[in-house]
Amino acid sequence: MDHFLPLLSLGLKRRSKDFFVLFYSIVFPMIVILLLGYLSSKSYGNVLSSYHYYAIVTVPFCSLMAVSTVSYATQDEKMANTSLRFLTAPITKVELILSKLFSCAIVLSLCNVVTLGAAKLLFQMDFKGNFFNIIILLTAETFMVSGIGVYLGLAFKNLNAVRNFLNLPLCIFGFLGGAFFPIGSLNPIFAGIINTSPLTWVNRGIVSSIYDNNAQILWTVTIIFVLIGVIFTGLTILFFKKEAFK
Amino acid sequence: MSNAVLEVKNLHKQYEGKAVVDGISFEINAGDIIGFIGPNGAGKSTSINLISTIVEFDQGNVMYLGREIRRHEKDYKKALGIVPQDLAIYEDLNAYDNVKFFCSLYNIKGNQLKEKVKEALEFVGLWDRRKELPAKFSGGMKRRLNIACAIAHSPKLLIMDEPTVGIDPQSRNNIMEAVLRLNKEGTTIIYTSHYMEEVETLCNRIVLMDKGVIVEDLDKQVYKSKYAAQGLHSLEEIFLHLTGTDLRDMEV
Repeated sequence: MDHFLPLLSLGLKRRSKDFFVLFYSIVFPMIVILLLGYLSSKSYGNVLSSYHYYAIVTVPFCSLMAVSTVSYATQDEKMANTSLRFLTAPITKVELILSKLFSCAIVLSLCNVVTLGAAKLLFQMDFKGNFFNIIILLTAETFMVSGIGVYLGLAFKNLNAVRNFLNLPLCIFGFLGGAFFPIGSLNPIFAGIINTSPLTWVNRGIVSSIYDNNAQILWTVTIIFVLIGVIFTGLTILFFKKEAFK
Repeated sequence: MSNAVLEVKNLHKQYEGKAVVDGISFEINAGDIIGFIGPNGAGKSTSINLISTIVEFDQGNVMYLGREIRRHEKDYKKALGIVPQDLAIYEDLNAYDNVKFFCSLYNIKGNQLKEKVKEALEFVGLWDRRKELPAKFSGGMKRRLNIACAIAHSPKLLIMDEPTVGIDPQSRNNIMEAVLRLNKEGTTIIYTSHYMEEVETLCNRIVLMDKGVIVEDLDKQVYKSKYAAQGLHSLEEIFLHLTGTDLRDMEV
């Protein structure tokens, strides 16, 4: 792993200057929280205000949407024509893949800290001592998202085709997870469908840890996200294609 | 005992059933500047990609200092430098950071890294402009930075793929001088170009490829004397004689 640090350092430098990362992970969620929070302010109470609700659901939703951003980030070298230098340098594919994964996960996680921190200050959100736990959960989510994005960017054959419809399932997950408005049903079939969205479980985990003082869902989801991230990273290492990187 | 730094043996590469490189073999000796030439679609770029490990070959072998590059890829890569035809630099990093980053991929650290970066930037005449972004550079300066990124780790074997495309005569002259200086300092060079006069000036041996095979592989002086009797004196005349005058647009 001799070359991991220079690769990671470059990745961090480039991601932290990436307009799309900064806009869609900080500015965009803040706009959504302000806008939807304001529009629905009369439908919520004081304990859980509309701003609180949208802060809780929007940050995980925007984190999930970053799959696309990460898949583009893996193609930095292709865009700058520098991939040939990487392929002829004595670096291993593991170093390359892990540097991509961690640079994206770290910067996206820091963006989440900034956004959630800003929401906490602006809307006087009381996380009841769970702020750090929620950040851990969101970090696990960005790790999973980065793992999937890196897989799509470096090991998947038809990335462009996937990108065209990638936003649709993510938006459906967002809808089912209550990112646009609270959703729930007594109908067991629809309740089952709602449960297929990872955002449903993220939001349940956050809400139950803050308002029910129960962090069991939060930690379970955190562990599952980390495992999914590890699985996708393993798949990327296994199916890495020089052609996809070149 | 062979003086070969690189031995290319019966190399094959197919794409969709079509042989792009069809059993090429040649050797490169220490201190050579090999002119690797051919018309568009001849298989030069694919051959370069095979030799530089960017693409895997279907059959054959490439040996570096008598060792198979597939089995000793890391050692081979440490000794290899590449100047790609397209500029391979980050526009959002300044010249110094570009060279520093690519040099650091060769496990060079600390003061040694700083020295190597300085040497490379001084070599291409960009030390005074090291803090500027490439976006502010002329085409020639970008080409020189492209070279600095490839030589900072002091490669023993340098592959230069059309390093003078699209630049003014002054910059081209500067790059050609740099190639000769690098060679004098002990770097073996594979040089591809469509500018025959460049190849004629720089190279001591010429390998001519066409349609996936090597058509000629001769010492430059032998080349000249071999074809002089047929009234062919310049490399360009010999090139056109051997590869024909038909346009190759369809074969690219």
